[in-house]
Amino acid sequence: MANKKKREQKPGDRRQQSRPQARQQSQPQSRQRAQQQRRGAPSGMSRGSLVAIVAAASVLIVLLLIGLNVAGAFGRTPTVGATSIKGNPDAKVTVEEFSDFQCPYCAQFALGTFPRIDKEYIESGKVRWVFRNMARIGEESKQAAQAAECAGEQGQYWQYHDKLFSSQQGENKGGFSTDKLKGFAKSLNLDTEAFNSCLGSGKYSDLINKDLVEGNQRGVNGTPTFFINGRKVEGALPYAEFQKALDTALK
Amino acid sequence: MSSEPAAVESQALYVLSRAVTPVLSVLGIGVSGYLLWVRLGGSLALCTGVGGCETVNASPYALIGGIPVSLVGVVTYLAILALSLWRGWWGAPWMVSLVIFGIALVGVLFSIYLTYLELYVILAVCPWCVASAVLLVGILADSWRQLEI
Repeated sequence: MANKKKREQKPGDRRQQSRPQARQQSQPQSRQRAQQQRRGAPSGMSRGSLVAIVAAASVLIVLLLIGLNVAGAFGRTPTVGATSIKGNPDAKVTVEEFSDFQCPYCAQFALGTFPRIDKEYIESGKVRWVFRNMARIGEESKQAAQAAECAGEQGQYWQYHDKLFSSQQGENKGGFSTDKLKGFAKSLNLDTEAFNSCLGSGKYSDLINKDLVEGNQRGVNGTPTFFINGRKVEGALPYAEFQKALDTALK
Repeated sequence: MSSEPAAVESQALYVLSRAVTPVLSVLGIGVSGYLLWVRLGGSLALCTGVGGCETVNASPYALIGGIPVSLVGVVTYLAILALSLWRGWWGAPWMVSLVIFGIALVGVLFSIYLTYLELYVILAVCPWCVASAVLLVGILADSWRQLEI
């Protein structure tokens, strides 16, 4: 009988089920129900209905949160390091290059094709070039990217960029160890104290990670990948191919 | 006389059943608290061996209205902990169970969205975030049980 009563109890007042159990079991069922009604669901509405309302409200709240989250993500300002941009800010064409300092094809482009593009299109004000860090090969890629930003603080981003690409020694094999990165700064006659302090602080770590996330979001599957006024071009293509793509964009 | 051991057993089960959500909430506070600490510039030591914590935590999706998702997680778990303690040890109206259910449901649905982002947008998986999602599923299941519809 007691078990039967226990099964019939609704959970509106669980504390009453356990502690003052003896007293409650002696109460008539109608009184228990009335008490549960007072402490549980509002009158005229079943618990099932209330659960359904709360579930629907939860879905609405989640949709609102997702909206806020997406709006925030898209509304955030671009994460480009200020010094990794080259050329006329009002140029008709903007090229974004997603690159990794440890990637051999990126080095091939940076040291072979890019200087010609720089001379023909960037210096003449036709093209604005934005270097984005797709530091996906490993920790040394991220370290190198941060070091370049630190060099940028002293106005030598692009010189350091060239130094890194011309000093590759394989992937994550110590070619871009902290000591090597400091050595590159010294060889470029940077203020080593300021550079070392910047590199040690990890202040550009977030920036590098954000670039990587944005590259993933925009479908960058390999490096180098370029966006010429938003149009995706993949690979270290020869100069003639870039010339064609840039001339088309400039028309 | 024979009903005494049964009563003790019943009391133990009662206590255990009330402890599920508080225990999961405390674990959740630990997990999201750690992620918040990482977000605020703490060490990355427990993340680097496993993978994408850093990438996920630094992504533009790691904020809701300018507030770190991990902070929202800490507050959510704290709220669930307080409500579940109220329900389990000091007695509380059934509506409190309903509120816990609602919070847990929001948490689980939002975790599904975050897991989708990790897998298909950010392309990096943070094991701590997955752990938090699992804890929320546990809390939701327990809160459903407590509703006893």
